Amino acid sequence: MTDMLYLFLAIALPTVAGTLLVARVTSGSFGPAMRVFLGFGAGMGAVSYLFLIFGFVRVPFSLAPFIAALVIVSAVLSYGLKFSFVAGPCECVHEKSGILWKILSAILVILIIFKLAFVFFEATHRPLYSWDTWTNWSAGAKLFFYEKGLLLDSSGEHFLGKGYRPFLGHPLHATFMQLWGALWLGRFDETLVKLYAPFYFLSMLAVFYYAVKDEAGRKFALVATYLLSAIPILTYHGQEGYADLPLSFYSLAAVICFWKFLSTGKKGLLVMAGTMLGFGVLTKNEGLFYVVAVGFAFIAARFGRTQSKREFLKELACLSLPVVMLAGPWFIAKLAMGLGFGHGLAGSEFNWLSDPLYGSDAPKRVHWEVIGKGLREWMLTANFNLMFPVLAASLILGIKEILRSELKYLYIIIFSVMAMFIFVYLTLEVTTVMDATGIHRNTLTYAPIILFAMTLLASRLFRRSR
Amino acid sequence: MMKSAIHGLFAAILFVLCLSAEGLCSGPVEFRAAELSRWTPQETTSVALVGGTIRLSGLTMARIISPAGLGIEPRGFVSVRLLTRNDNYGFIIFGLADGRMVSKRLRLRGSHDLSEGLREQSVYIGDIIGPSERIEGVALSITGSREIEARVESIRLFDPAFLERAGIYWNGFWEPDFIDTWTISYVTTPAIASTPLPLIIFIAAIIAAFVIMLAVYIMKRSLTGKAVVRIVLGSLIAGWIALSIRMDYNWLVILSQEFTDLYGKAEAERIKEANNRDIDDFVDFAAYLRSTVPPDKKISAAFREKGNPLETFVAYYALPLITSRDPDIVWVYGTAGLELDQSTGTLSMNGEALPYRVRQYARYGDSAALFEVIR
Repeated sequence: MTDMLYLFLAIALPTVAGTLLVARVTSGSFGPAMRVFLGFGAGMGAVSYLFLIFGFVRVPFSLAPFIAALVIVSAVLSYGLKFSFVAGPCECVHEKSGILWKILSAILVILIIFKLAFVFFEATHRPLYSWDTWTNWSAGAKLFFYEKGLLLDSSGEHFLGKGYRPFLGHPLHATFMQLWGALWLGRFDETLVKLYAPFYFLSMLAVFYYAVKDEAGRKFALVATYLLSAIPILTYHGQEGYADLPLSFYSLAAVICFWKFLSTGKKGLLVMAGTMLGFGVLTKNEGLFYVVAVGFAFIAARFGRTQSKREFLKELACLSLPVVMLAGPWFIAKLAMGLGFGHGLAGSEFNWLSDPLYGSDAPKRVHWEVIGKGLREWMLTANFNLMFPVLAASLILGIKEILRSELKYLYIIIFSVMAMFIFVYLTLEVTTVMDATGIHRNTLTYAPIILFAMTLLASRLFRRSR
Repeated sequence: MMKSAIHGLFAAILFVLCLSAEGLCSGPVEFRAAELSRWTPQETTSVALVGGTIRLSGLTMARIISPAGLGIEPRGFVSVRLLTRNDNYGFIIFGLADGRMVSKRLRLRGSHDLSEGLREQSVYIGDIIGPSERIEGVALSITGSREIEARVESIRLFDPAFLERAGIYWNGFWEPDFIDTWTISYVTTPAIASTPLPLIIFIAAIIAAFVIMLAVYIMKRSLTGKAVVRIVLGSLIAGWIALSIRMDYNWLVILSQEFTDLYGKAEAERIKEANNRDIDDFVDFAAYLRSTVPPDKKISAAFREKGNPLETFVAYYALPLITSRDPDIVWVYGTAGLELDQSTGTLSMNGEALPYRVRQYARYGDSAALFEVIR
């Protein structure tokens, strides 16, 4: 019981700070629920950032400085803030509901609640079990917890977790989330340290639901949220202490803020999009793909269409400065520590045209075989249920609607990210596709964006076709 | 109405797949336990004939291989009657006359109580072995990431009758997933006669869309482009929901199992239950290390290759004891061949010696020992 109280505080304290940040920055663009769920992600991202700051200035890891920082930030953010529990401007579609819909919606709600109950049960009862979780995130978290710092003595045997962390260049958000739970519990509990994962799952479903509801109405929002909750591989990630789900949350949140900006023009939304992108980069290296993709979409949407070049540059700064401020120090530190730009394997990490996992003997060539294998994985497996076949069909059916509306910017993001992943598969990470160990985890990070875009497209096609 | 339509749809799909899977109707070929016990075991596999079953065990894999030159005519299906202690993956492998090897994966739900009734795993193999080919050898391989222990009664090649065949497909359709170290990377896709369910549902949704469009056209004598879009998208979304509900069924099965396995148990027991590798004893060993070695001492594994998963597990679970390349205490797990020369302090195993002098520090039963490095 005491553990649960501490873990509640571990989630609640950053969420309050994050909610205030969202409310301050986006000023009335989102309703209260959306602010809280976006605030959870922002708050947990801020905790990660504090770990980096305290770690690098060598403040021993304990709760006091974190609590102090979060309370001070919350106080500053709430100063002069008008608290409103009324939803922001809603473009909700007004819908009539028959009895059949009421029955269907009740079933969908029950299925979503069941999924949440399952994920929370597993997260609180099943100890860490995945090899990748141990090696990539948990061993480092446990070491940092007992050593109370990042072990930055460059001559030390366990510098930055060396010996426990095979990839020193990996961003540390998932590690810090487990460390955060352990600090509150006062011990490294093999189960409860990953409690952040189901909260990311819950927050992603909520953010998705409210974003779709605002534009496409409750019916589309509920069906699509169920389809999102039912993505099998997402459910596995909702209960294990891994990093793809948090990145998935941050990329979706950034895209939703960017999408909302396109219709409202409020620059605060760009700042929030940039903040979420920055936290995404601190979660996984792939977060950089989303920075590039949203950057592309922003330029396509705004270049030459703002009142002046100055205005465009202002907007660009709103989007990019938070990314630079959040992710920049991490990359500078990595480069200064000689960890390079990627995994931190010191030189061998970009072994172009041969998969480093196969060793240097592998023939150097573009691995075209990943295209066919990747398509089979997307189209014929149930990792994402029918998402990819329906994506293909909806593109054919809705291409006109996509091109003539702002939806094209969402698809620019999706296809840019996919193109970047495919480039990496073709040239660097062949095995992640050929043995399917990475492709679905990568896809998980942009699957919610695909579903978001498809739902908005479907709602327009259905409405138009009535 | 809706329920009967769904049943009708599945019955039609099964009927079509059954027809397509019709093969030669030869009698079954069965290898029973007595014969299986004479097959060649591979790697760490040990085989014992106990009653009417063989007991297979192995560390990371248990495999038995039949003699070559069986010269069996192919059948449409293979069935293995067995029970594994843990959830495992298995492979049934066929060596063909032309030198090719083909295999089918079996997903084996385990039972800690090996005295439970055996489970029958039947899979369609007509898609990997043509009717004109010959099976020259068969192997059963139980792999996966857990320690292996299994009872196997028989391997049978057969051509089932229509209803039995439909039953196999039906069971394959509902075969639940289980949580494994791999499930963070991919999930298992249900299939009917080796055809992935997403493909079947996608095709069914497209066919349904055509039927609906035809019905609309017959009733209204017109069909607009907008209606086509709505019907096709609507059918696909309905199919998507159907597949989602099927995949959600996995969680129901997993939750009921997990509730029994995990709820109300101590952390160490849950770790043993949840882990997919053979680390039960390592969890206890790590606890022993934590209680025996003073917290200011550094530890290291001896005679284990760097990167060996078990070394990593102990390093992880032994924390806050730090694993170091300059240790105060070294641990040795698996003491066969271990020799300590008391006079020189040289510790060696199978001809390999440690680079530093040690003295005995503690013993963990017969399976492991700790040594203190002499400075």
